[in-house]
Amino acid sequence: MKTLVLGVGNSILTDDGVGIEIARQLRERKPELEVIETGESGIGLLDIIVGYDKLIIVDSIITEKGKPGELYKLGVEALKPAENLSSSHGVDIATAYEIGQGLGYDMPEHVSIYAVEIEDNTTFGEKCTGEVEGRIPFIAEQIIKEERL
Amino acid sequence: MKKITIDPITRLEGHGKIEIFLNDEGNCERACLQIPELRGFEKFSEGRAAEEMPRITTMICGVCPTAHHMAASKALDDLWKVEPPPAAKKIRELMYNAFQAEDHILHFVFLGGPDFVVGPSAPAAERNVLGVIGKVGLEVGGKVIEMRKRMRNVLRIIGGKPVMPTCGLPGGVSKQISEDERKTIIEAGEYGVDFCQFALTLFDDVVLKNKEYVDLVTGDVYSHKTYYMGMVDENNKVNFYDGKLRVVDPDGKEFAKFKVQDYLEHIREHVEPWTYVKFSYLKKVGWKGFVDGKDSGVFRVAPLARLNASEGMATPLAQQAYEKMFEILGGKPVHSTLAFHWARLVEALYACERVLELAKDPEITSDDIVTLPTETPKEGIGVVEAPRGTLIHHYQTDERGILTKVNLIVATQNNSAAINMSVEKAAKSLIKKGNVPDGILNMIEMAFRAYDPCHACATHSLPGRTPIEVYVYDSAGNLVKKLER
Repeated sequence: MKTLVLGVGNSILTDDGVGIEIARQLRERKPELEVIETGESGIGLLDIIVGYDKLIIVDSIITEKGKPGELYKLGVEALKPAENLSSSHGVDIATAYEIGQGLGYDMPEHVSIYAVEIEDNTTFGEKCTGEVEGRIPFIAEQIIKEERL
Repeated sequence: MKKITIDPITRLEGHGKIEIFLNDEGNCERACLQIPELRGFEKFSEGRAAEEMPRITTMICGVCPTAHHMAASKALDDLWKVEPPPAAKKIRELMYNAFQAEDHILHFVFLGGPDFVVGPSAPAAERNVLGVIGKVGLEVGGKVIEMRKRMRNVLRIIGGKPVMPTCGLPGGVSKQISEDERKTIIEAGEYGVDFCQFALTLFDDVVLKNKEYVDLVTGDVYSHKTYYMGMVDENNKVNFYDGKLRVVDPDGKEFAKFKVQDYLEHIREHVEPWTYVKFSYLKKVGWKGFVDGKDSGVFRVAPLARLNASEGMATPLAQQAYEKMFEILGGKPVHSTLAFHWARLVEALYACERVLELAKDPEITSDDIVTLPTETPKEGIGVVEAPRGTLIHHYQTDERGILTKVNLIVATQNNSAAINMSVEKAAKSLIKKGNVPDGILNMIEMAFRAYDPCHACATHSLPGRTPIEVYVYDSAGNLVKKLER
């Protein structure tokens, strides 16, 4: 099975870069894994993910009651917008995935999305906040176990 | 590990927020829009070498990395007072137009399309990008992706990477274009010109032949008689990469034309206590609040504003499309916000024609692509027309070129007063005697999509979009309704 690990985020927006950091750790621990770090979102992801059987996305999330450093596992369907696009100027991962399917692209059959609860993704900075930073090695380990990498 | 299903999606943080305040009669008195903002860029940049800016600034916007790269490269030219050779300017302009074309088409089909192509009164569940593909057919969806792919390949050829270019240097670019690459770029330009003509025909068939939509475009709800600003060449034609900034008044008469280095004499920033977003206005007219008209310094930028502020397009097919748009919409200037979508298509056609023109220019493969800087740096200002409007980078450095001050005026800031006004106008037209229809969210979103404001879009956290919440308060300040997606 051709597997891709995709670390998504912006490494100069504090915790937004956590997905990238975790992807780097996964690459270090499992050098045989195909790992891509990306600042792409939405449609741009189609350029990267087509042709794989399995896709593992590592990204950040802010939920109402979450604690920084908590890890969630989601399926792509969980990210589907309730209705329309709500005025963002990019389409989200779920919509991009659906477009890819609609256009008949060779989309990954299995998609796991790992989302790390974060604290701050709107302040410029090259390092994650303390709680999040401290959990990165543990989270990488969790993903390896869960996905049997 | 917690396994969660995020439904409803609005449980996530990072919303845009609109607060609507009603008067004693239950009508809308005022509306305030708050969108998440990124913080601390100035501090982040200070102390770094100025040459890093074309690479760093590509990371501050999720959709406009090339615009920031180019504005930063031009600010470095000005910082070291160095003039790039003609071939370097052409290479930069070529790359920039490829970016503009890709961004505009993607916006029109995937983001504006749900309102235009599927139709404003279609059920909300169908008013999305998949609804667009359903209506225009899979083949067209595939063409959009293909056009995007080809233009991104042009960005990769010139910029090194398709998303975050690395080619801009003070005084030029880092790499010349080979003959083989030129051929690929010409093919991309030809594909783009064909596609944009097709998109304009689609717009004719689907939108202009739909009375309901034409009424909405030309109606009063989204109309503001403001000033308009955009960059123009020496013939007052639209130019995205270089030229002077031209401002026309609400009657379409030239109000100002200036070099970007003089921007502080023309543009000022107003601050409101309820938001971090700054509101640009024309200094010589003054800030009179969120109102339109000749006495208010509020101006608009981005596609429609650029077309209003210019005297035409510099390429033949785009010029025809430009003339047709103004003829149908009743002459210049056009004040309807929804006409931004149409103007975006006219600009996309221009961008593709310009890619083709520049790719065929004999000088484009020249190896004379950089002028080495020799001056001591102090202050530099660069401007480009980003897809979403005029973007200004302003740097100050010490004599080693280490940044001491950074100021960016981004496109959305220039449009922010008008965006707020559009939201308020939609609220005023729909809320009567305390009755707040659910459809108001939709109307507000349509105004939003026309401007396509930037809102912390460099943030990549899930779900990858910014939902809007609307809060309505009565005249006593009690929350009477909350609407959300």
